[in-house]
Amino acid sequence: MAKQIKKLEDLTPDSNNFNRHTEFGSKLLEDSLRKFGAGRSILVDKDGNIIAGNGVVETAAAIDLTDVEVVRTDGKKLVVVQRTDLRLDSPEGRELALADNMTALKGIDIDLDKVQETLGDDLAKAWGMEIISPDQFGDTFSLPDGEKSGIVTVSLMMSAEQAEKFKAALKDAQDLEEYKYLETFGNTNQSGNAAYLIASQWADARK
Amino acid sequence: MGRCKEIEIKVIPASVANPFVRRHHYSGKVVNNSQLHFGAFLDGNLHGVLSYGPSMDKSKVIGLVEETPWNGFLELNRMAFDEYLPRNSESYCIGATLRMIRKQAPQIKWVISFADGTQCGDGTIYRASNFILTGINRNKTIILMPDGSAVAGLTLDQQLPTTKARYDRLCGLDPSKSYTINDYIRGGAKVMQGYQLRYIYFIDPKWRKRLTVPEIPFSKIDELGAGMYKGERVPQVQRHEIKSAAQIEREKK
Repeated sequence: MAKQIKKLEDLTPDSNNFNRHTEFGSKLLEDSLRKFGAGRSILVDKDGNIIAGNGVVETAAAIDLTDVEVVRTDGKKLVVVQRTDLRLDSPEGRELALADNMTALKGIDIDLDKVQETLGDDLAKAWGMEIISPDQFGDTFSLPDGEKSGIVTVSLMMSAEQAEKFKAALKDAQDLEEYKYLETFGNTNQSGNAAYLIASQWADARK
Repeated sequence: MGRCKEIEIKVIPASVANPFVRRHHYSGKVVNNSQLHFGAFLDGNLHGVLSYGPSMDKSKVIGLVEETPWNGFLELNRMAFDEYLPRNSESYCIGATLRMIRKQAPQIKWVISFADGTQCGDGTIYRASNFILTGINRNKTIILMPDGSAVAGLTLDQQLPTTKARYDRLCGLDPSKSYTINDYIRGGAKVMQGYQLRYIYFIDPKWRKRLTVPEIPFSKIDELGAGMYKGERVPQVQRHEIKSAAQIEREKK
């Protein structure tokens, strides 16, 4: 006999949840629930234990979205959640479609150890998890050798006001289209390259 | 040594190292310019990561050892282990990775690392791995943001733009500009109390005589009250009384 579920509090979170969730994903989820209300459903077992949607339940509880609509099913029919207040071809409908995808994408942080412990390597692999084993990796590497040819360090002393303006200019220069095509002479330092761009443009302007 | 000898050290990519570091390092953060990551595997699974790379402020650090070539040293900038590994695994892994560096990158003459005595420890593992203590400085750069997150102020400009913007807004600052640590402090951040300790390991022992700063005896840590172990302020002499839950569990067996 399946448990009667009337409120969110009748549900039991999965203490062994494979998804650790991410801070950013949880924020997106909260934004989505606040802006659009509930979208897709969650999944629980016959005793009210949450199989999928632990994060949704936690977030819904945090924002007082505690009423539930339960659809009892044995998996032989697809449960369709129909929003009667929305059209897909509206800015809101399209944004909800994006929110649905992105909250899922950004909210996943699977605990591989837990999956391996609970279900074993074969099932973890079968469901697309990358099992990290020492056999995948070698023990060789290489690091840059020798001097950094032709690269010098230039130090400047400035007042706080000058430094602020200087740093802002370096930052602006890095956003310029010309920065992308700048001759760097092998320099990989972004601030150095930005300073060179500014100096070159200043020299050109004086010609 | 126990099971330490069974640990396999492999070179792993950042895509494998970084998620592990984020999960197990006390800071929860990775260092973006790490270029060499080692994984410590035991019983077929990854249980530790050691990340090496150039120092953020390389031009300042390079002068600590005279005549060091631009690519002549590395920083051990992240080390994270879970509790599965046996005792002394950290120093075992450091030793193993240093030997690999000596063999495969002979241009590296020394390795620098910093112990964060504001939140983590004063470098017990480095001392056990024959590093030399070369600096004990009262912390001026690790700041506590108003939301409780600890950030190295010097790296704020190198954070992802979204991360920097979050810290800027927490301190009431305009995210489109750059700031000094003092700007964040005026906005409500606080300098974390404690010390930062600088350690150097000479892969090529001949380079030790080129050290341009004095070697500091380890006893100085307690003299200055800079002792910290597993996030607790304790002098070195009391360390043996502190054991992790995993250690206690191991000793029961």
